[in-house]
Amino acid sequence: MANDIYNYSVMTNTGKGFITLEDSRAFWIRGYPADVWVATDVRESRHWVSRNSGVSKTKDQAQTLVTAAVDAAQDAWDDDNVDGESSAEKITRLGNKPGDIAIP
Amino acid sequence: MTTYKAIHGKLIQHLASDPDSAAYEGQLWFNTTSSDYKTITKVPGAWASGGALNTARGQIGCCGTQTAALASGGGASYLAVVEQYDGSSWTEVADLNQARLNLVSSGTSTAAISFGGYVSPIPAPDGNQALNEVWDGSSWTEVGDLNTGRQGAAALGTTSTAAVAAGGASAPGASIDPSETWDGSSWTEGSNLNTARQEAGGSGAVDDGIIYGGYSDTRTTIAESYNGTSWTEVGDLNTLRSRPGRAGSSSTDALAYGGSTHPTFSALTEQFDGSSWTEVADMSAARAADQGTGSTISALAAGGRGAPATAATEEWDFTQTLAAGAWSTGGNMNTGREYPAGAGTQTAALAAGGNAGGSPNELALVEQYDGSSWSEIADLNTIRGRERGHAGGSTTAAIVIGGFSGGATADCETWNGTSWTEVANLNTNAISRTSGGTSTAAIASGGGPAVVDSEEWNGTSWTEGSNINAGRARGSHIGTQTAAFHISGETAPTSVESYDGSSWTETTDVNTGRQFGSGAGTTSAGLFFVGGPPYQAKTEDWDGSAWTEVADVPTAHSNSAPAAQGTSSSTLSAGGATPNLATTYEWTRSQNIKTITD
Repeated sequence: MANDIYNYSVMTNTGKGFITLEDSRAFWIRGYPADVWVATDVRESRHWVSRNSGVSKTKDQAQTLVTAAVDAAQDAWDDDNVDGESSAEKITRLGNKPGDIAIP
Repeated sequence: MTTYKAIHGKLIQHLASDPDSAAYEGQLWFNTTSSDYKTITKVPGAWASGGALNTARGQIGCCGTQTAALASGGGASYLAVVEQYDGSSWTEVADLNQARLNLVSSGTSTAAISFGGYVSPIPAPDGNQALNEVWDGSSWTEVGDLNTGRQGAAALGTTSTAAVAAGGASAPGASIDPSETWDGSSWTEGSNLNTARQEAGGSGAVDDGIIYGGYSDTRTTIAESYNGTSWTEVGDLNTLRSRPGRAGSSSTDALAYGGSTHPTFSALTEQFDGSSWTEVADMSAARAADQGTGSTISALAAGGRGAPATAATEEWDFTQTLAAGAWSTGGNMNTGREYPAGAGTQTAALAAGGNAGGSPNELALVEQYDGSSWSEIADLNTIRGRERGHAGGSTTAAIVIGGFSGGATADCETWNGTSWTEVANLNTNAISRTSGGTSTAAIASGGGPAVVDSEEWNGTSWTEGSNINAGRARGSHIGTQTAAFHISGETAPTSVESYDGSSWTETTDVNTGRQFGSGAGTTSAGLFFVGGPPYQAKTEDWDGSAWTEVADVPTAHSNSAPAAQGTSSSTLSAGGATPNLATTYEWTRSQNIKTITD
C-alpha cells in the first residue's frame, strides 16, 4: 500500500449496496469521519465513487474535512463533564477521547 | 449454432439467488434477481507450508504427488538419503545404492526410478552418472544405465516404467541436447532438443511433456514440448532461471516455480496453458526448487538450494473455489449507537440497547435485521449502554446480559420473538463482562476491575463456573457455553482463553490486541474484528490453530453489535463508535462467483 495512489471523495454510506463484496475484493476502501472515503485509485474505485454520487476531493481537502470532524468530536468530549467525576470515570462514561486521524 | 444445452445436455438454470456450492464450478446460471449470467471459478492458486525434510538439501530427485512424494539423494555432500512424504511429514526410508546429487526421478512414492546425477571423486569420466536405480517401496535396485551419463537432466514421466531424460551436462560444465526414453528395462536414444541445456524443469508424460528454462551457455527462458518423437519450441518463460521446480500433466499444462537466477534465487511461479506462461503467486521463500513434483493444481516444492540449502516444503493449491472473505455494507440502523448488544446471524440479527452518543444517553431501543434492513421491535425493559452488555441467541429466542445502566448492571432479559422478560440477574455485577451463548445456555466471564469470575446460565438461573486466568473487562466472546473463547480485553490485550465446559486455558494470542472487539463463530472456526481505542479495522480469522489477518472492515470502529451466532464465513458488525454509527458491515466468505460480462 505504501506506493498506492488513492482517490478521495465525500459520500454518504447509504447502506446495502454502497460497498458490495465485488467492490471490497477489487480495491482497498477506508471510511473516515465527515463521510470521507479513501480508495486505491483504480478504474473500479472510480466507478464506485460515481455509482454512489461521490464528490471528489484532493487529499488536502479530504484531510481538512476529517480534521474538522475530529476536532469537533474532541471538543465535545472535552466539554462533556460531570462534577466530581474522575478522568477514569469520564472514560468509562464517554469512552476515550477521539484521537487525531491522518488519512493515507 | 452450438448451444449450451448441446454442449452440457441441459438448459441454463434460472436462479433467484447465487448458489454457494463448489459443485457449481464451471456451470453457468442466470440470476433472475440481478439479470446476470454467472459462474463459479477457482480462486488464484497459492503456496502454503508443508512438513520440512529431515535433511536440508537441494539438487534432489523428486517424484510422486503433493500427498505421496519421494525425495532421493541431493545435497552438496553427495547424499544417498531418501525421504518419503505423506502429505504432512517426511520419513527417511532406505538409501540409494549410490549417493549423488543433481539426479532426476520419475514415478510414485512407492514405485520410482532415480537416474543420472553427479558424484565426485568417483572416477566415472568427470563424475556424471549413467546410473539408474528402481525403488519398489522398500529398497533400491540398480537397473539399466542411461546411454549417456549426465547430471541435471530434465525428466518427463510419472511412472517407474516410462520416463524421458532430456539434456543435462555430460562433459564438465557442458550442456547437452540428446534425450533418452526408458521403457522399464532399457534406455533408447531419442531425438535431440532444439536447445542444449542442463538444470531445466520438466513435466508431463513421455509422449506429451514439456521442459522449460535451464542453463545453456547462459540461463534460458526457452521451453520445448515433446510428443514422443520430436521436440518443438513453445512459449518462453517470462523470467530467466535454471533449476525451477516442476509440475504438470502434459505439454499444455505446467508449473515452473523458484529457480536459480545466479547469484540470487527466485520465488516466482509461472503457469503454462499451452500457449503462454503467466505469473501466479510466489513461493514464500526464494530457492532453486530443483525437481519438485505434482500437478498444476496440487504441487510440491521440497528442499532446494537457497542461501543456504533449505529443508522447507511448500505446497501449491489451485483447487479452491471459496473466495477470500470481504466486508460489504448492509442496511443502516434506524438509530445510530455505540455499545449495542448483538445476537443472531447475518440475515436475522438483533441489536439491543446501546448508547446514542454523549452521556447519559443509554437506550432501550432494539432493532431487528432481515439481511437488508433494520426494523424497530419491542424495547428492552432496562436501558443499557456504555460498557456494553452482550447478547446471544436468535431473533426469536435471545438473551441480553448485563451492561451499563447508569452504572454496571447485572440485569438480564430474554426475548421470545415478541417481548422482553426480566430474568435472574448475574451473580457478579461488574463493568463490561464478556458473554454469549443462547437464551437457555449462556456464559459470562471476566469484567472490571480484574474480575476473574465466570458463570453459566441454564435458562433459569446463573451458576458459578470456573474462573478465567486473567481477569479483565471489555473482552469479546466466541462460541457456546461449553466451547467458548474469551478474547482480548483491557488488561490482557492479545490474550485468548478457551473454555471446554469445565476450565479456562490460555490458547493462541490474537495478532492485534484490542478492547471492545466483536466476535462470531466457534472455537474451531471463528472471526474477531474491530475494537479499540484506537479504533480498529482489523479482522482476524481463527482456523482452529492460528489467527490470521484477513480483509479489514472499511471503517475502523469499536463497540459494534456482532451477529454473534454468525460464523467465520458470515456475520455482521452493526453500529459502534467513531462514534455513534448507524452503519452495518456484512462479512461474507462465499464461492468465487463471476459475472459473465461478454
